[in-house]
Amino acid sequence: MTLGRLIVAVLAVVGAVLLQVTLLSRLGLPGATPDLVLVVVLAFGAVRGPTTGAGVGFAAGLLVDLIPPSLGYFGLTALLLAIAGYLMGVVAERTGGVVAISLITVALISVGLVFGRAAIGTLLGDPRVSWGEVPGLALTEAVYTVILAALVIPTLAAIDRFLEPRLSL
Amino acid sequence: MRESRRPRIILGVLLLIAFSFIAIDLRADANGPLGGVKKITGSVLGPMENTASSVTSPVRGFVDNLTSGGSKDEQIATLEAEIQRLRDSGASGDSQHRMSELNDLLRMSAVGQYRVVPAQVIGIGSSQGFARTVTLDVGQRDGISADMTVLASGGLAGRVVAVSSTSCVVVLLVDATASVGGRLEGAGEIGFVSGTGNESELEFQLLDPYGPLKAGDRIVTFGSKAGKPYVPGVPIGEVTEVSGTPGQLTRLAKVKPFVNVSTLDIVAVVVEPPRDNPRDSVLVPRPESSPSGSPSGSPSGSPSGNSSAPATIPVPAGSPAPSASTSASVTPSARSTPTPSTKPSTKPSTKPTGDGASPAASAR
Repeated sequence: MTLGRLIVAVLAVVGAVLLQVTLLSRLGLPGATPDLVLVVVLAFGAVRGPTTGAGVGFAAGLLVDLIPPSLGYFGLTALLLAIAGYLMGVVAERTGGVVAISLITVALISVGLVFGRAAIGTLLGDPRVSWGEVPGLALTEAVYTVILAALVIPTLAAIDRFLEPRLSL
Repeated sequence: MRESRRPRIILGVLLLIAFSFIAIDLRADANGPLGGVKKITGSVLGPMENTASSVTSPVRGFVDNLTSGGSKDEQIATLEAEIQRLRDSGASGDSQHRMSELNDLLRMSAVGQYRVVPAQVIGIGSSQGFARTVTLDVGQRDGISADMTVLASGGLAGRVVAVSSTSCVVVLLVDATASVGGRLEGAGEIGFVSGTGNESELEFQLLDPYGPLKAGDRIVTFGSKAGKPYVPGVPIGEVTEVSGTPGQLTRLAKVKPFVNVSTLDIVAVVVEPPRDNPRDSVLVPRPESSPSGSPSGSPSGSPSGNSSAPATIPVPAGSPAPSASTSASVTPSARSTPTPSTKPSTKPSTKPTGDGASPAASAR
Protein backbone atom coordinates (compact mmCIF):
# COMPACT_ATOMS: atom_id res chain seq x y z
CA MET A 1 0.00 0.00 0.00
CA THR A 2 1.39 3.35 -0.95
CA LEU A 3 1.36 6.41 1.25
CA GLY A 4 -1.56 8.03 -0.55
CA ARG A 5 -3.70 4.96 -0.15
CA LEU A 6 -2.78 4.68 3.51
CA ILE A 7 -3.78 8.28 4.15
CA VAL A 8 -7.11 7.70 2.42
CA ALA A 9 -7.70 4.67 4.64
CA VAL A 10 -6.86 6.52 7.87
CA LEU A 11 -9.01 9.52 6.98
CA ALA A 12 -11.94 7.37 5.92
CA VAL A 13 -11.87 5.24 9.06
CA VAL A 14 -11.44 8.11 11.54
CA GLY A 15 -14.07 10.19 9.75
CA ALA A 16 -16.53 7.32 9.70
CA VAL A 17 -16.06 6.54 13.40
CA LEU A 18 -16.55 10.18 14.39
CA LEU A 19 -19.61 10.62 12.17
CA GLN A 20 -21.00 7.40 13.61
CA VAL A 21 -21.10 8.57 17.24
CA THR A 22 -21.80 12.25 16.69
CA LEU A 23 -24.28 12.21 13.84
CA LEU A 24 -25.71 8.89 12.73
CA SER A 25 -26.57 7.50 16.15
CA ARG A 26 -28.20 10.80 17.12
CA LEU A 27 -30.52 10.99 14.17
CA GLY A 28 -32.95 8.65 15.88
CA LEU A 29 -33.68 6.68 12.71
CA PRO A 30 -35.93 3.65 13.20
CA GLY A 31 -34.27 0.36 14.04
CA ALA A 32 -30.51 0.01 13.97
CA THR A 33 -28.06 2.88 13.67
CA PRO A 34 -26.69 3.15 10.11
CA ASP A 35 -23.22 1.65 10.42
CA LEU A 36 -20.97 3.88 8.37
CA VAL A 37 -17.86 2.25 9.81
CA LEU A 38 -18.98 -1.13 8.51
CA VAL A 39 -19.70 0.40 5.10
CA VAL A 40 -16.22 1.91 4.91
CA VAL A 41 -14.63 -1.41 5.89
CA LEU A 42 -16.68 -3.26 3.26
CA ALA A 43 -15.69 -0.66 0.67
CA PHE A 44 -12.01 -1.22 1.36
CA GLY A 45 -12.54 -4.98 1.13
CA ALA A 46 -14.40 -4.65 -2.15
CA VAL A 47 -12.01 -2.19 -3.77
CA ARG A 48 -8.62 -3.23 -2.38
CA GLY A 49 -9.06 -6.92 -1.62
CA PRO A 50 -9.33 -9.18 1.42
CA THR A 51 -6.00 -8.31 3.05
CA THR A 52 -6.73 -4.62 3.18
CA GLY A 53 -10.33 -5.35 4.12
CA ALA A 54 -9.29 -7.39 7.12
CA GLY A 55 -6.65 -4.86 8.19
CA VAL A 56 -8.91 -1.83 7.87
CA GLY A 57 -11.70 -3.73 9.62
CA PHE A 58 -9.44 -4.60 12.53
CA ALA A 59 -8.16 -1.05 12.92
CA ALA A 60 -11.59 0.53 12.57
CA GLY A 61 -13.03 -1.95 15.05
CA LEU A 62 -10.40 -1.10 17.66
CA LEU A 63 -11.20 2.58 17.23
CA VAL A 64 -14.93 1.90 17.61
CA ASP A 65 -14.23 -0.07 20.78
CA LEU A 66 -12.13 2.77 22.18
CA ILE A 67 -14.10 5.87 21.34
CA PRO A 68 -16.45 7.02 24.09
CA PRO A 69 -19.26 6.14 24.81
CA SER A 70 -18.36 2.59 23.81
CA LEU A 71 -18.58 0.20 26.76
CA GLY A 72 -18.46 -3.04 24.79
CA TYR A 73 -15.76 -5.63 25.08
CA PHE A 74 -12.52 -4.23 23.74
CA GLY A 75 -11.65 -6.18 20.57
CA LEU A 76 -15.14 -7.47 19.79
CA THR A 77 -15.88 -4.97 17.04
CA ALA A 78 -12.35 -5.41 15.71
CA LEU A 79 -12.94 -9.15 15.45
CA LEU A 80 -16.27 -8.79 13.65
CA LEU A 81 -15.17 -6.04 11.26
CA ALA A 82 -11.95 -7.85 10.33
CA ILE A 83 -14.03 -10.85 9.27
CA ALA A 84 -16.48 -8.59 7.45
CA GLY A 85 -13.75 -6.82 5.46
CA TYR A 86 -12.06 -10.11 4.60
CA LEU A 87 -15.26 -11.78 3.37
CA MET A 88 -16.18 -8.77 1.28
CA GLY A 89 -12.71 -8.80 -0.30
CA VAL A 90 -12.86 -12.50 -1.10
CA VAL A 91 -16.29 -12.25 -2.71
CA ALA A 92 -15.33 -9.16 -4.71
CA GLU A 93 -12.16 -10.86 -5.95
CA ARG A 94 -13.91 -14.07 -6.99
CA THR A 95 -16.80 -12.36 -8.75
CA GLY A 96 -14.87 -9.48 -10.23
CA GLY A 97 -16.96 -6.81 -8.51
CA VAL A 98 -20.39 -7.38 -10.06
CA VAL A 99 -22.62 -4.72 -8.52
CA ALA A 100 -25.62 -6.92 -7.69
CA ILE A 101 -23.52 -9.61 -6.06
CA SER A 102 -21.55 -7.00 -4.11
CA LEU A 103 -24.69 -5.42 -2.70
CA ILE A 104 -26.21 -8.78 -1.78
CA THR A 105 -22.96 -9.64 -0.02
CA VAL A 106 -23.08 -6.32 1.82
CA ALA A 107 -26.61 -7.08 3.03
CA LEU A 108 -25.71 -10.61 4.15
CA ILE A 109 -22.60 -9.45 5.98
CA SER A 110 -24.46 -6.70 7.84
CA VAL A 111 -27.18 -9.14 8.93
CA GLY A 112 -24.46 -11.56 10.01
CA LEU A 113 -22.74 -8.79 11.96
CA VAL A 114 -25.83 -7.95 14.02
CA PHE A 115 -26.49 -11.61 14.79
CA GLY A 116 -22.80 -12.25 15.46
CA ARG A 117 -22.58 -9.37 17.91
CA ALA A 118 -25.70 -10.52 19.75
CA ALA A 119 -24.49 -14.13 19.82
CA ILE A 120 -21.05 -13.25 21.17
CA GLY A 121 -22.63 -10.89 23.69
CA THR A 122 -24.85 -13.70 24.91
CA LEU A 123 -21.91 -16.09 25.11
CA LEU A 124 -19.90 -13.58 27.13
CA GLY A 125 -22.85 -13.04 29.48
CA ASP A 126 -23.80 -9.49 28.46
CA PRO A 127 -27.18 -8.84 30.17
CA ARG A 128 -28.09 -6.14 27.65
CA VAL A 129 -28.60 -8.39 24.64
CA SER A 130 -32.30 -8.73 23.90
CA TRP A 131 -32.93 -11.24 21.13
CA GLY A 132 -36.41 -9.92 20.50
CA GLU A 133 -34.89 -6.83 18.94
CA VAL A 134 -32.27 -8.61 16.87
CA PRO A 135 -34.30 -9.48 13.72
CA GLY A 136 -35.59 -5.91 13.41
CA LEU A 137 -32.13 -4.49 13.98
CA ALA A 138 -30.62 -6.86 11.40
CA LEU A 139 -33.21 -5.98 8.77
CA THR A 140 -32.91 -2.20 9.15
CA GLU A 141 -29.14 -2.49 9.40
CA ALA A 142 -29.03 -4.35 6.08
CA VAL A 143 -31.16 -1.70 4.38
CA TYR A 144 -29.05 1.20 5.68
CA THR A 145 -25.78 -0.55 4.88
CA VAL A 146 -26.78 -1.38 1.30
CA ILE A 147 -27.88 2.21 0.65
CA LEU A 148 -24.67 3.66 2.07
CA ALA A 149 -22.48 1.04 0.38
CA ALA A 150 -23.99 1.86 -3.02
CA LEU A 151 -22.59 5.36 -2.51
CA VAL A 152 -19.33 4.67 -0.68
CA ILE A 153 -17.90 1.77 -2.72
CA PRO A 154 -17.93 3.61 -6.09
CA THR A 155 -16.53 6.71 -4.37
CA LEU A 156 -13.59 4.80 -2.92
CA ALA A 157 -12.99 3.08 -6.27
CA ALA A 158 -12.91 6.47 -7.97
CA ILE A 159 -10.48 7.85 -5.37
CA ASP A 160 -8.15 4.89 -5.87
CA ARG A 161 -8.24 5.27 -9.65
CA PHE A 162 -7.44 8.93 -9.25
CA LEU A 163 -4.53 8.26 -6.87
CA GLU A 164 -2.92 5.47 -8.86
CA PRO A 165 -4.38 4.85 -12.28
CA ARG A 166 -1.69 2.22 -12.90
CA LEU A 167 -2.55 -0.07 -9.99
CA SER A 168 -6.28 -0.28 -10.34
CA LEU A 169 -8.00 -2.96 -12.35
CA MET B 1 -1.87 -19.62 -4.86
CA ARG B 2 0.51 -17.38 -2.96
CA GLU B 3 -1.93 -14.49 -3.12
CA SER B 4 -4.88 -16.48 -1.81
CA ARG B 5 -3.04 -17.78 1.25
CA ARG B 6 -1.65 -14.51 2.49
CA PRO B 7 -4.99 -12.82 3.30
CA ARG B 8 -6.11 -15.86 5.24
CA ILE B 9 -2.98 -15.88 7.36
CA ILE B 10 -3.30 -12.18 8.04
CA LEU B 11 -6.96 -12.55 8.98
CA GLY B 12 -6.06 -15.42 11.33
CA VAL B 13 -3.43 -13.31 13.08
CA LEU B 14 -5.80 -10.36 13.45
CA LEU B 15 -8.53 -12.59 14.87
CA LEU B 16 -6.09 -14.05 17.37
CA ILE B 17 -5.11 -10.57 18.51
CA ALA B 18 -8.76 -9.53 18.79
CA PHE B 19 -9.58 -12.65 20.80
CA SER B 20 -6.78 -11.96 23.23
CA PHE B 21 -7.97 -8.35 23.64
CA ILE B 22 -11.45 -9.62 24.48
CA ALA B 23 -10.03 -12.14 26.91
CA ILE B 24 -7.96 -9.47 28.66
CA ASP B 25 -10.92 -7.10 28.79
CA LEU B 26 -13.18 -9.77 30.26
CA ARG B 27 -10.86 -10.30 33.20
CA ALA B 28 -9.64 -6.78 33.77
CA ASP B 29 -11.43 -4.02 35.65
CA ALA B 30 -11.21 -0.29 35.02
CA ASN B 31 -7.76 -0.13 36.57
CA GLY B 32 -6.35 -2.86 34.34
CA PRO B 33 -4.04 -2.18 31.41
CA LEU B 34 -6.93 -1.68 29.00
CA GLY B 35 -8.59 0.78 31.36
CA GLY B 36 -5.52 2.99 31.05
CA VAL B 37 -5.51 2.69 27.27
CA LYS B 38 -9.18 3.60 27.15
CA LYS B 39 -8.61 6.61 29.38
CA ILE B 40 -5.79 7.92 27.21
CA THR B 41 -7.61 7.37 23.94
CA GLY B 42 -10.71 8.90 25.54
CA SER B 43 -8.87 12.14 26.21
CA VAL B 44 -7.65 12.19 22.60
CA LEU B 45 -10.88 11.09 20.97
CA GLY B 46 -13.15 13.12 23.28
CA PRO B 47 -12.16 16.54 21.91
CA MET B 48 -12.34 15.19 18.35
CA GLU B 49 -15.83 13.94 19.11
CA ASN B 50 -16.71 17.33 20.56
CA THR B 51 -15.57 19.12 17.40
CA ALA B 52 -17.35 16.65 15.15
CA SER B 53 -20.49 17.05 17.21
CA SER B 54 -20.62 20.80 16.75
CA VAL B 55 -19.84 20.48 13.05
CA THR B 56 -22.66 18.00 12.50
CA SER B 57 -25.29 19.73 14.63
CA PRO B 58 -26.99 21.61 11.73
CA VAL B 59 -27.41 18.30 9.89
CA ARG B 60 -28.98 16.74 12.97
CA GLY B 61 -31.43 19.60 13.29
CA PHE B 62 -32.38 19.28 9.63
CA VAL B 63 -33.01 15.54 9.83
CA ASP B 64 -34.87 15.95 13.13
CA ASN B 65 -37.24 18.30 11.43
CA LEU B 66 -37.78 15.86 8.59
CA THR B 67 -38.38 12.82 10.76
CA SER B 68 -40.30 14.33 13.66
CA GLY B 69 -43.65 14.82 11.95
CA GLY B 70 -45.52 11.68 10.94
CA SER B 71 -47.66 12.53 7.91
CA LYS B 72 -47.21 15.45 5.55
CA ASP B 73 -50.14 17.27 7.12
CA GLU B 74 -48.60 16.95 10.55
CA GLN B 75 -45.28 18.17 9.23
CA ILE B 76 -46.91 21.19 7.65
CA ALA B 77 -48.80 21.92 10.86
CA THR B 78 -45.60 21.59 12.88
CA LEU B 79 -43.71 23.87 10.53
CA GLU B 80 -46.46 26.47 10.56
CA ALA B 81 -46.54 26.44 14.33
CA GLU B 82 -42.77 26.77 14.28
CA ILE B 83 -42.90 29.77 11.96
CA GLN B 84 -45.51 31.41 14.16
CA ARG B 85 -43.41 30.82 17.20
CA LEU B 86 -40.31 32.23 15.54
CA ARG B 87 -42.25 35.33 14.55
CA ASP B 88 -43.51 35.73 18.09
CA SER B 89 -40.27 35.24 19.87
CA GLY B 90 -37.55 36.31 17.52
CA ALA B 91 -35.40 33.50 18.83
CA SER B 92 -34.58 30.32 16.99
CA GLY B 93 -36.53 27.22 17.91
CA ASP B 94 -33.41 25.38 18.83
CA SER B 95 -32.25 28.00 21.32
CA GLN B 96 -35.78 28.26 22.75
CA HIS B 97 -35.85 24.55 23.35
CA ARG B 98 -32.44 24.57 24.91
CA MET B 99 -33.33 27.50 27.09
CA SER B 100 -36.34 25.70 28.48
CA GLU B 101 -34.20 22.63 29.11
CA LEU B 102 -31.66 24.76 30.94
CA ASN B 103 -34.42 26.39 32.95
CA ASP B 104 -35.69 23.06 34.13
CA LEU B 105 -32.19 21.91 35.03
CA LEU B 106 -31.64 25.11 36.99
CA ARG B 107 -34.94 24.64 38.78
CA MET B 108 -34.10 21.07 39.75
CA SER B 109 -30.62 21.91 40.98
CA ALA B 110 -31.89 24.89 42.97
CA VAL B 111 -34.79 23.08 44.56
CA GLY B 112 -32.86 19.90 45.25
CA GLN B 113 -29.73 21.78 46.38
CA TYR B 114 -27.61 19.77 43.99
CA ARG B 115 -24.33 21.30 42.93
CA VAL B 116 -24.16 20.62 39.23
CA VAL B 117 -21.87 21.02 36.27
CA PRO B 118 -23.74 21.60 33.01
CA ALA B 119 -22.72 19.43 30.10
CA GLN B 120 -23.66 18.64 26.57
CA VAL B 121 -24.15 15.30 24.88
CA ILE B 122 -21.56 14.92 22.12
CA GLY B 123 -21.89 11.27 21.18
CA ILE B 124 -24.29 8.36 21.43
CA GLY B 125 -23.62 4.63 21.14
CA SER B 126 -25.10 2.63 18.26
CA SER B 127 -28.34 0.85 19.04
CA GLN B 128 -27.07 -2.47 17.69
CA GLY B 129 -24.48 -2.45 20.48
CA PHE B 130 -27.43 -2.75 22.93
CA ALA B 131 -25.80 -0.50 25.55
CA ARG B 132 -27.58 2.82 26.06
CA THR B 133 -24.67 5.18 26.63
CA VAL B 134 -23.77 8.76 25.75
CA THR B 135 -20.61 10.87 25.84
CA LEU B 136 -20.58 14.25 27.59
CA ASP B 137 -18.19 17.12 26.95
CA VAL B 138 -17.05 17.38 30.57
CA GLY B 139 -14.37 15.32 32.26
CA GLN B 140 -11.89 15.10 35.07
CA ARG B 141 -10.71 18.70 34.69
CA ASP B 142 -14.31 19.86 35.26
CA GLY B 143 -14.49 17.94 38.52
CA ILE B 144 -16.32 14.92 37.14
CA SER B 145 -15.59 11.49 38.53
CA ALA B 146 -17.19 8.10 38.12
CA ASP B 147 -20.52 7.31 39.81
CA MET B 148 -21.95 10.79 39.66
CA THR B 149 -25.64 11.34 38.97
CA VAL B 150 -26.61 12.90 35.65
CA LEU B 151 -29.77 15.01 35.42
CA ALA B 152 -31.63 16.01 32.30
CA SER B 153 -34.64 18.20 31.77
CA GLY B 154 -37.41 16.31 33.55
CA GLY B 155 -35.40 14.18 35.94
CA LEU B 156 -32.83 11.42 36.14
CA ALA B 157 -30.83 10.60 33.03
CA GLY B 158 -28.17 8.19 34.25
CA ARG B 159 -24.81 7.93 35.93
CA VAL B 160 -21.20 8.54 34.96
CA VAL B 161 -19.22 5.34 34.51
CA ALA B 162 -15.96 6.32 32.85
CA VAL B 163 -14.05 9.58 32.85
CA SER B 164 -11.19 10.92 30.80
CA SER B 165 -9.72 14.38 31.20
CA THR B 166 -12.14 16.13 28.86
CA SER B 167 -15.06 13.75 28.39
CA CYS B 168 -17.05 11.17 30.26
CA VAL B 169 -19.32 8.25 29.47
CA VAL B 170 -22.80 8.05 30.96
CA VAL B 171 -24.85 4.88 31.23
CA LEU B 172 -28.46 5.98 30.81
CA LEU B 173 -31.18 4.85 33.17
CA VAL B 174 -32.90 3.02 30.31
CA ASP B 175 -29.88 0.76 29.82
CA ALA B 176 -30.69 -2.85 30.66
CA THR B 177 -28.01 -2.99 33.35
CA ALA B 178 -29.00 0.23 35.12
CA SER B 179 -30.82 -0.01 38.44
CA VAL B 180 -31.65 2.68 40.98
CA GLY B 181 -33.42 2.72 44.32
CA GLY B 182 -36.73 4.51 43.95
CA ARG B 183 -39.28 5.90 46.39
CA LEU B 184 -42.93 6.55 45.68
CA GLU B 185 -43.97 10.15 46.04
CA GLY B 186 -45.72 10.86 49.33
CA ALA B 187 -46.17 7.32 50.52
CA GLY B 188 -42.47 6.68 50.88
CA GLU B 189 -42.70 3.07 49.74
CA ILE B 190 -39.37 2.03 48.30
CA GLY B 191 -38.30 -0.31 45.54
CA PHE B 192 -35.98 -0.66 42.59
CA VAL B 193 -36.27 0.94 39.19
CA SER B 194 -34.36 -0.81 36.45
CA GLY B 195 -33.85 -0.15 32.77
CA THR B 196 -35.24 -2.48 30.18
CA GLY B 197 -33.18 -1.41 27.17
CA ASN B 198 -36.40 0.09 25.82
CA GLU B 199 -36.20 3.89 25.64
CA SER B 200 -39.68 4.62 26.94
CA GLU B 201 -40.08 2.01 29.62
CA LEU B 202 -38.56 1.27 33.00
CA GLU B 203 -39.47 -1.43 35.46
CA PHE B 204 -40.29 -0.76 39.12
CA GLN B 205 -40.19 -3.48 41.72
CA LEU B 206 -41.84 -2.62 45.02
CA LEU B 207 -40.16 -4.10 48.07
CA ASP B 208 -43.26 -4.27 50.27
CA PRO B 209 -45.66 -6.75 48.67
CA TYR B 210 -48.65 -5.02 50.33
CA GLY B 211 -47.53 -1.46 49.62
CA PRO B 212 -49.86 0.88 47.77
CA LEU B 213 -48.99 1.11 44.10
CA LYS B 214 -51.14 2.39 41.27
CA ALA B 215 -50.88 3.94 37.86
CA GLY B 216 -50.05 7.62 38.06
CA ASP B 217 -47.76 7.29 41.07
CA ARG B 218 -44.52 9.16 40.61
CA ILE B 219 -41.12 7.90 41.66
CA VAL B 220 -38.04 9.78 42.86
CA THR B 221 -34.59 8.41 43.62
CA PHE B 222 -34.11 7.03 47.09
CA GLY B 223 -30.49 8.09 47.17
CA SER B 224 -27.34 6.04 47.60
CA LYS B 225 -24.73 6.27 50.31
CA ALA B 226 -22.85 9.57 49.93
CA GLY B 227 -24.89 10.26 46.82
CA LYS B 228 -22.93 7.79 44.69
CA PRO B 229 -24.03 6.79 42.16
CA TYR B 230 -27.45 8.37 42.72
CA VAL B 231 -28.32 11.44 44.78
CA PRO B 232 -31.73 11.45 46.52
CA GLY B 233 -34.88 13.18 45.36
CA VAL B 234 -34.38 13.15 41.58
CA PRO B 235 -37.63 12.49 39.66
CA ILE B 236 -37.44 9.21 37.76
CA GLY B 237 -40.80 8.56 36.16
CA GLU B 238 -44.46 7.82 36.49
CA VAL B 239 -46.10 4.43 36.94
CA THR B 240 -48.18 3.54 33.91
CA GLU B 241 -49.20 -0.02 34.56
CA VAL B 242 -49.14 -2.25 37.63
CA SER B 243 -48.89 -5.99 37.28
CA GLY B 244 -49.47 -8.45 40.09
CA THR B 245 -51.86 -8.18 42.99
CA PRO B 246 -51.16 -7.02 46.55
CA GLY B 247 -49.48 -9.75 48.55
CA GLN B 248 -47.73 -11.29 45.61
CA LEU B 249 -44.06 -11.94 46.29
CA THR B 250 -42.83 -9.24 43.95
CA ARG B 251 -44.95 -6.42 42.66
CA LEU B 252 -43.86 -5.03 39.34
CA ALA B 253 -44.93 -1.91 37.55
CA LYS B 254 -44.10 -0.33 34.25
CA VAL B 255 -42.73 3.18 34.59
CA LYS B 256 -42.52 5.86 31.95
CA PRO B 257 -39.32 7.86 32.47
CA PHE B 258 -39.61 11.64 32.75
CA VAL B 259 -36.50 12.06 30.62
CA ASN B 260 -36.78 11.42 26.91
CA VAL B 261 -33.38 9.99 26.06
CA SER B 262 -33.85 10.15 22.31
CA THR B 263 -33.71 13.94 22.42
CA LEU B 264 -31.08 14.24 25.13
CA ASP B 265 -28.98 17.35 24.59
CA ILE B 266 -28.16 19.47 27.63
CA VAL B 267 -27.65 17.66 30.92
CA ALA B 268 -26.20 18.41 34.36
CA VAL B 269 -23.79 16.28 36.32
CA VAL B 270 -24.29 16.43 40.09
CA VAL B 271 -20.83 16.98 41.55
CA GLU B 272 -22.00 17.40 45.13
CA PRO B 273 -25.04 15.74 46.71
CA PRO B 274 -27.46 17.85 48.76
CA ARG B 275 -26.92 18.07 52.51
CA ASP B 276 -30.57 17.28 53.22
CA ASN B 277 -32.71 14.84 51.32
CA PRO B 278 -35.01 16.97 49.14
CA ARG B 279 -37.69 14.24 49.35
CA ASP B 280 -40.47 14.99 46.84
CA SER B 281 -39.76 18.67 46.42
CA VAL B 282 -37.96 18.37 43.08
CA LEU B 283 -41.04 16.87 41.45
CA VAL B 284 -43.11 19.33 39.49
CA PRO B 285 -46.30 19.88 41.51
CA ARG B 286 -49.28 18.19 39.94
CA PRO B 287 -51.74 20.41 38.17
CA GLU B 288 -54.88 20.74 40.29
CA SER B 289 -57.97 19.27 38.73
CA SER B 290 -58.59 22.28 36.46
CA PRO B 291 -57.03 21.66 33.05
CA SER B 292 -55.52 25.17 32.80
CA GLY B 293 -55.03 24.90 29.08
CA SER B 294 -51.32 25.02 28.47
CA PRO B 295 -49.20 21.90 28.38
CA SER B 296 -46.93 23.46 30.94
CA GLY B 297 -48.55 22.00 34.01
CA SER B 298 -47.86 18.39 33.13
CA PRO B 299 -46.03 16.27 35.64
CA SER B 300 -43.38 15.21 33.15
CA GLY B 301 -41.08 18.10 33.77
CA SER B 302 -42.13 19.91 30.67
CA PRO B 303 -40.29 22.99 29.41
CA SER B 304 -41.89 25.42 31.81
CA GLY B 305 -41.36 23.13 34.76
CA ASN B 306 -39.86 25.97 36.72
CA SER B 307 -43.18 27.72 36.67
CA SER B 308 -45.19 26.39 39.52
CA ALA B 309 -42.35 25.17 41.69
CA PRO B 310 -42.17 28.20 43.99
CA ALA B 311 -45.63 27.41 45.28
CA THR B 312 -44.18 25.16 47.92
CA ILE B 313 -40.43 25.34 47.77
CA PRO B 314 -38.16 28.10 48.94
CA VAL B 315 -36.36 28.84 45.72
CA PRO B 316 -33.53 31.30 46.15
CA ALA B 317 -33.49 34.65 44.37
CA GLY B 318 -36.74 35.97 45.73
CA SER B 319 -39.41 33.78 44.27
CA PRO B 320 -42.68 35.59 43.80
CA ALA B 321 -45.59 34.62 45.97
CA PRO B 322 -47.88 32.11 44.31
CA SER B 323 -50.92 34.01 43.22
CA ALA B 324 -53.25 31.19 42.31
CA SER B 325 -52.24 27.60 42.60
CA THR B 326 -52.35 26.46 38.99
CA SER B 327 -52.52 29.59 36.94
CA ALA B 328 -49.31 30.62 38.64
CA SER B 329 -47.53 29.11 35.68
CA VAL B 330 -47.25 32.47 34.03
CA THR B 331 -46.19 34.65 36.91
CA PRO B 332 -42.83 33.20 37.86
CA SER B 333 -41.80 32.27 34.37
CA ALA B 334 -42.23 35.85 33.32
CA ARG B 335 -39.16 36.47 35.41
CA SER B 336 -37.05 33.70 33.99
CA THR B 337 -38.39 33.12 30.49
CA PRO B 338 -38.58 36.06 28.12
CA THR B 339 -41.49 34.66 26.14
CA PRO B 340 -43.92 33.06 28.55
CA SER B 341 -46.77 32.84 26.11
CA THR B 342 -45.10 30.57 23.61
CA LYS B 343 -44.20 27.26 25.02
CA PRO B 344 -42.31 25.00 22.65
CA SER B 345 -44.28 21.81 22.65
CA THR B 346 -41.35 19.82 21.43
CA LYS B 347 -41.17 17.68 24.51
CA PRO B 348 -43.28 14.57 24.09
CA SER B 349 -45.07 12.86 26.95
CA THR B 350 -46.85 15.95 28.08
CA LYS B 351 -50.01 14.07 28.78
CA PRO B 352 -50.90 13.90 32.45
CA THR B 353 -51.91 10.26 32.50
CA GLY B 354 -53.41 9.47 35.83
CA ASP B 355 -53.84 12.73 37.62
CA GLY B 356 -57.49 12.17 38.26
CA ALA B 357 -56.93 8.87 39.97
CA SER B 358 -54.55 9.99 42.65
CA PRO B 359 -54.59 12.55 45.41
CA ALA B 360 -52.99 15.60 43.94
CA ALA B 361 -49.87 16.92 45.63
CA SER B 362 -50.10 14.45 48.44
CA ALA B 363 -46.81 15.47 49.91
CA ARG B 364 -47.91 18.89 50.92
